[in-house]
Amino acid sequence: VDGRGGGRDDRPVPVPDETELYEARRGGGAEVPLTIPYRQGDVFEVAAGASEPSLRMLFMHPCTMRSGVAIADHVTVLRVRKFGKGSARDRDRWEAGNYSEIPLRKLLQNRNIYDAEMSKIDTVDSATLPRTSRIASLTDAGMLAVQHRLIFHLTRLSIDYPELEQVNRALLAELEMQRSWSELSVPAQAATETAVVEAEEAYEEFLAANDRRIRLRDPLEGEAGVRREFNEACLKQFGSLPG
Amino acid sequence: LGGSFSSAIVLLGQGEIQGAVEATDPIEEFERRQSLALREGVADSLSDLAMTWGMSWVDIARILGVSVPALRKWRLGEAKPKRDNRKRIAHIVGLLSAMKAVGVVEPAGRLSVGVVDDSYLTLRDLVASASVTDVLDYVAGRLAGEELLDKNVDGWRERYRAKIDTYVAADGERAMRMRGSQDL
Repeated sequence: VDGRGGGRDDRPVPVPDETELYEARRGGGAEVPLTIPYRQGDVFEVAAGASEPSLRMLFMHPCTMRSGVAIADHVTVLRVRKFGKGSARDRDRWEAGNYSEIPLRKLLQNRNIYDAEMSKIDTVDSATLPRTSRIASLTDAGMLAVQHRLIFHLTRLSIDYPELEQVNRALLAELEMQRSWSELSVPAQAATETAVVEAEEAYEEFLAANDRRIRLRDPLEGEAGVRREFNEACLKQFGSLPG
Repeated sequence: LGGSFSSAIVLLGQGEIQGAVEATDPIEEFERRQSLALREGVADSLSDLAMTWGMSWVDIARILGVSVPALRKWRLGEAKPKRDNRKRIAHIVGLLSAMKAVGVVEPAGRLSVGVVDDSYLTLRDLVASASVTDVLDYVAGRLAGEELLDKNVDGWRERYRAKIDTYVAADGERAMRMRGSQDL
């Protein structure tokens, strides 16, 4: 690219492999842990029991979809469709074009492949998306891949992943600590939606005190102090370090 | 700033540098803490990185090139890291202590921000490859960021050029803008 708008860049838009994309997926007896906070890129089954599942992906920016540490009352979702059977050409298809789709390889851990369509957007009441209906949650890298593709789809601007990570750093830290707090508060076998929400409310109290949420946004001098306080709070309250 | 790292006063005019620093030689501090960490064991060193320095598991894992679950297993004694990784963990402990001795207020934070404005590479990306002396020279203002990158990352200007700046928007959230443009 010559920097004056006349160049050409043949580098493909990166598409994460499924092993990098999913933090957790339903299937093979596994469920998505309820202790994982709502995150951009989460996929939900909204019409369970139908012959073909009706799937939606949360796609609002992770800041705007949250009200404190809870999910906002109304959120936007993308429709997720079954695209077909997986093939070796899928990656080429997504790397070299079809930028309005977010690839979801092996979403249901079968041979079918799915994608989220950025042209099919709905606004829904977040109460229709209970965590128990979540079938997939993305890794940090997967969430950044969604953002990358969304920005590219809307603007044709390709932002390198490390730069996206930099701007999301405070939010990713907040989410990471939220999950740790819930995991320490609620034993996996006793996890219910209500118990997790209560744990998250306690985490919100921690985060809202002493300007911690604001300090977390300062990676140079704020974040490390908040993490120390978080670790101390976990040790004191739960007798264990997070993570 | 001239002379050795053992200067009692470090005044560099940089935000992350404190005005007064204990008269500790940072290289000696690095060696002392690294050696101590090797004796203490991995679990204690990892807890030290989290509790004393406020490092995230994600950042530690990335420096070591391992997963966060692997770190957890080491910390809980469910698995043992190889000797190389034990040395790397001790290296991080030593480096953070030495950075503190140079006057860096939050060494873990210093690792996570850009080395120069033009690139998104951070000190975290260089911990495994750069010499301790170079890193300490850099954080003490004795080595320019460009020089540190020139010495350690081939072609960094082309390969890791930053296209955007991050800033805090009027709503208090972090935002991105193309380099050289105005705040929204």
